[in-house]
Amino acid sequence: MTEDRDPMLQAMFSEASPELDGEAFIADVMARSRFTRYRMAVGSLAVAAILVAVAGVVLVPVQELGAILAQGLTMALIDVGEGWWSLIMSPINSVAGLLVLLVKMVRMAMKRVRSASYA
Amino acid sequence: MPEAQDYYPECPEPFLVGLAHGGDRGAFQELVRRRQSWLRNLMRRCCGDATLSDDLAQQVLLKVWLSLRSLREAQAFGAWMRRLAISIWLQHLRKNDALRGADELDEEAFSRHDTPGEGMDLDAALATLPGLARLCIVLAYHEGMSHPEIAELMEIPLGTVKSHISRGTKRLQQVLSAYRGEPDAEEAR
Repeated sequence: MTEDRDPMLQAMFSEASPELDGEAFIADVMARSRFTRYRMAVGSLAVAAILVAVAGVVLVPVQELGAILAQGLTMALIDVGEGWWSLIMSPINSVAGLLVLLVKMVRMAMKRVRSASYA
Repeated sequence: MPEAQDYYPECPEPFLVGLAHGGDRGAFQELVRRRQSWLRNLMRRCCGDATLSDDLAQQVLLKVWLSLRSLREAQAFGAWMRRLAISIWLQHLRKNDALRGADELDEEAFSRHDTPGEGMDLDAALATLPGLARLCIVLAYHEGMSHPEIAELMEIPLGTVKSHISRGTKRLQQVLSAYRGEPDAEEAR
């Protein structure tokens, strides 16, 4: 399809766009824009202050939750004692390792299912 | 002694954009002065209402003032501003649920706008088109944009743009046939 334009419509569009006198309009825009940036800055500061206050309240529980999660995720699946052997095995021999493995397997399965359905 | 702002009317636009980028309100005012007529005409073709179009144009310019720092190339100011204008117009359409029934042509709209004047007739004829078709037509005829450019700007498929413009053009030709000296216009009214 070409992009030929109707000459009559083109002419109408051109004639319907006169140069508009904008003194009042410009004054309005400038008046509205005067405090817009300040208002935005004050708004951002207010949001930041609220976030800091909320963080102060929830920081301790969140830290505790993080500690519990870290403890749970690093828990050994099979007891191999302590020492260098447990350190080497820890990426695999832990709840986190198991979860990563599960996620990988699910993603691989999903990929296979998808590629099978496209074929 | 003349002040720097006295020379703004003679400055090239990218230079003013750079100054406004740094927070110079005088440069921004000069940009508003240069672009206001084009922007208000564009919004007027989009919505057909002078008051609403001026309000939307003000929103666009405030957005320009607020997000000018995100503009990386001063040369692209015009295209960037047009993108903002279209985005604000689409937001307005969505807010007012005007995109509902976008495939239906408003047969009665032209007869509701029985105002003399070519511009008024054009706006009234445009009002008979669904929101997206109207915007495609305005971008093609008012802005002189190509179909792929419109598709990219509006983030819709090229085929949809072509279809909107083709159907919209036919509709406008039919409604505005009086300007061609054809008898259909009186019937359309």
